[in-house]
Amino acid sequence: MARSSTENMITLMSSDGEEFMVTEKVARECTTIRNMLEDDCVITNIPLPNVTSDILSMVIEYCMEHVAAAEKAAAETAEKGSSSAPAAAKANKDLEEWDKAFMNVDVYTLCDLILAANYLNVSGLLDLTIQTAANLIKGKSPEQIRKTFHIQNDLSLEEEEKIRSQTPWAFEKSE
Amino acid sequence: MAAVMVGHRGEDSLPHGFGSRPWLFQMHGSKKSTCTFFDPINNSLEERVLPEFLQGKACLGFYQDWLLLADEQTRECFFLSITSFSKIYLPSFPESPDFLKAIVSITSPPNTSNCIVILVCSSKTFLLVSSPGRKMWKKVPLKYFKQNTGSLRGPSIIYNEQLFVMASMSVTLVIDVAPLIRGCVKMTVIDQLKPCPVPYSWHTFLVECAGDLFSVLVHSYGSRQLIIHIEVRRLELSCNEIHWRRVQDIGDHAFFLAGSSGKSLPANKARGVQRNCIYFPANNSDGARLYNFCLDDQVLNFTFLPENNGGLNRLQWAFPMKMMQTVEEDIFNSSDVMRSEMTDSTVIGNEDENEVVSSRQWDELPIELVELLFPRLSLVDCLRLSSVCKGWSQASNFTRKGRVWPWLMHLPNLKYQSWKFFDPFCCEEYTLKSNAVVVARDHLALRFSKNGWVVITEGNKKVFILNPFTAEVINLPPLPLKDYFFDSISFTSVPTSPDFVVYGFFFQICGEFVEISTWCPGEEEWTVLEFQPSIPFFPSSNSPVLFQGEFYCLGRKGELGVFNPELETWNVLSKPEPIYSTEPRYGNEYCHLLELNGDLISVFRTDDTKQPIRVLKLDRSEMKWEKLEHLRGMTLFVDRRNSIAIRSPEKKYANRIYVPWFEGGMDSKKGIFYSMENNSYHPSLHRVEEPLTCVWMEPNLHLHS
Repeated sequence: MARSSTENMITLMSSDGEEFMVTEKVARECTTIRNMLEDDCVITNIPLPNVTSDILSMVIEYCMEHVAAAEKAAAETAEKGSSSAPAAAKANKDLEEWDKAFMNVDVYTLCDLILAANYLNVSGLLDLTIQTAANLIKGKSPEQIRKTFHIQNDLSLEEEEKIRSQTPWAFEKSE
Repeated sequence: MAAVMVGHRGEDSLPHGFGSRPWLFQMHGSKKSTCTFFDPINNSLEERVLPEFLQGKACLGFYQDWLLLADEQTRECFFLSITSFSKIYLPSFPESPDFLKAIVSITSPPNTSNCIVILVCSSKTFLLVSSPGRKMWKKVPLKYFKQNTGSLRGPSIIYNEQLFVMASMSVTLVIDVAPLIRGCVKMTVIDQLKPCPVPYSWHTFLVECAGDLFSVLVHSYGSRQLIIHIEVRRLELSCNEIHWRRVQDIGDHAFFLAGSSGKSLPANKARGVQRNCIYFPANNSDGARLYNFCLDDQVLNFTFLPENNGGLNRLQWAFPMKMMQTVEEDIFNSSDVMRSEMTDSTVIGNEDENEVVSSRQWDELPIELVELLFPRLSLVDCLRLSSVCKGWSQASNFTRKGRVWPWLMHLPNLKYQSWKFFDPFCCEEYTLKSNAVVVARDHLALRFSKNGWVVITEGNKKVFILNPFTAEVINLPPLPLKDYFFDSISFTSVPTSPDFVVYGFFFQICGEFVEISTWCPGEEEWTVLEFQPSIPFFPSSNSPVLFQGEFYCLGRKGELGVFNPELETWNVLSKPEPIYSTEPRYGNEYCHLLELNGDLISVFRTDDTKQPIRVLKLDRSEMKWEKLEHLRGMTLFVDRRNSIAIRSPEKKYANRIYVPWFEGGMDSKKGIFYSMENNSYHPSLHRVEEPLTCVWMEPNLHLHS
């Protein structure tokens, strides 16, 4: 992806001290960063103490892909005067496929991505990760959910019984 | 028995598996020189050429090893032993009546001295009686019909040396058999009030089972094709009076009904036969179906029988003696084994225990992020999520945020005192233990639902509105009925709101009289409005739709009747013009009316599953029905009386019409829907299950809402 040299570059620094140079356009995908830039237009180096380098690199990868897809769509519209519906549909589908492949991660990474997407306020990524987590929950019993997400059951028997007794029919299959 | 059919060719040409389970057997009389064997369990069909001396003969009945056969042309009549091949003659039949339509009862094997054969002839008022060695059939008139109108139409059976004939749904004639041969009639009449008057047709079967006599009533909507209610009654003696008493269970037995006769079998005698079930074949517009009514679930199953040109006339269930005599073998242990434990194969995610866990844990996820999950999950998933761990149990309001869509609420056997709910998207069924007072009532019909509230009638008079999940009940005054039937009901807003009003609609059967009753909380009785419109109106069974302040009722021809609650007027609209020029046969089609994105749409679903479902939209500028090809992002749910439209929670559910059926399976059920994309039913109609008492409803777990 060729970028014009005049484009502003921003340095994002992860909690473990790694630095990532990204274009301002990509950085602006994170609403949290966009707000910082709008408050202070000369800032070029942003420390992100809540995000580790491996997660930050993934967030950046996501933002770059989505910026590129949007730029491509805009370029096509400019070229032909209007974007053709089938082409736009295909581009959308390609991006969906990319998202799907991007979400092929373990549950720990998924958890970190949710937190990072929330902290950096990347609404598309938050949507995607929450939906992925929801898909992992669908149709499962509480025990199966715990197993999937490696969660310890810290409810006492009484507490668990109390929750279940309100809608016992919802828990029949789960034993 | 089949040894006879195949003549000298021996047992090799018997259908495979014959004798190990019930088969349906059919002799075609003069129409064909073959007989047909249906194997309902494996859904296969085999034809065998009959030996010449049996061609052209119709089989009128079975008694143990004996077939009662009659020649359609010569009216010759004889018993044939299927073991010894010996023949025992009866007198030839007289010219009238049509003996082929008669129902035969036989007291004992024809080679015994007291064998009497009795023919109950349809639409006649006499019996034909004879026995082997006699020269003629004796015509024995039944005086009962001189004093009462009507004629014989029901089934008959011999039980305890008495002939039981169902003369109508409520009247059973009990006639001593021995005097009949002398022309004497000693008769008792059991005349029971109809338990629940149903404005539909009915069909009765009599079955002897484990020393008891049972009658099975099959009620249909309109024609005999759409079955809406099945009940079993047992003959009981109390205070020196015999009467039928409804039973919920036939225990470890299965009933097999065909034509007008019924047989029973302990279910464990044959592989593949389910206990507490009633099997019967019936013709439908889309082919011959084998029904199986499960008394436990109150669910009616059907499969299609293989194509057979001869139709289903004079079908008999063949239980070879061999099967009846076998002691329980181990033949079905295999089916028990199949219920092996379910393994959990659905867990996705990294299962590697040794992985270095460097990052954060899911149970530490801030609760506001957990709450983001709820709107993407079904209500049941949310309930389960809340019991995963302490942190997640703190989430608030998840029952309001979880997604709901219509579930099929249905009533299993009363002994369970529970409701069942089938979720067609999650393919799960939930069982809700219920307030016994509500569920233990009999003859319940689920009429209408809105926001989780369900209108239920009990018999023909009582009506109440229930939220099954909060167990809130609103009892309404008895319905102000005269001698016609309650048709449909609807209400405005929810029962807890101040502007709650219930509207009941009653249409006289010829369409000339409309009665609309209203009730508001606090009132002691219904307020009745009567109309005698100039244009007759034949309503569909679908509930009226409240649309822009007026109630729209769909007629079976596609016409619209409108009730304006403000002005208290009833009108049959001249437009849209009916889509049918003549009134369709009652019960041929389910017609639904609903509101979809601000438009009125109608749905016509015939009983023939090979025909497409027609969906029409009312063009309100032209007042014309227009074909609708696509439901856009909507999903429809239709049952007999109620219909609901929702915005599809996921793209894949869009453009579908869910019917009140599911595809049965060992451990899972799948909702059956009609796809508007390719105009057919999915996933398949191989094994359809239909709860007989059901309604689509959207679950609502909130008290006072």
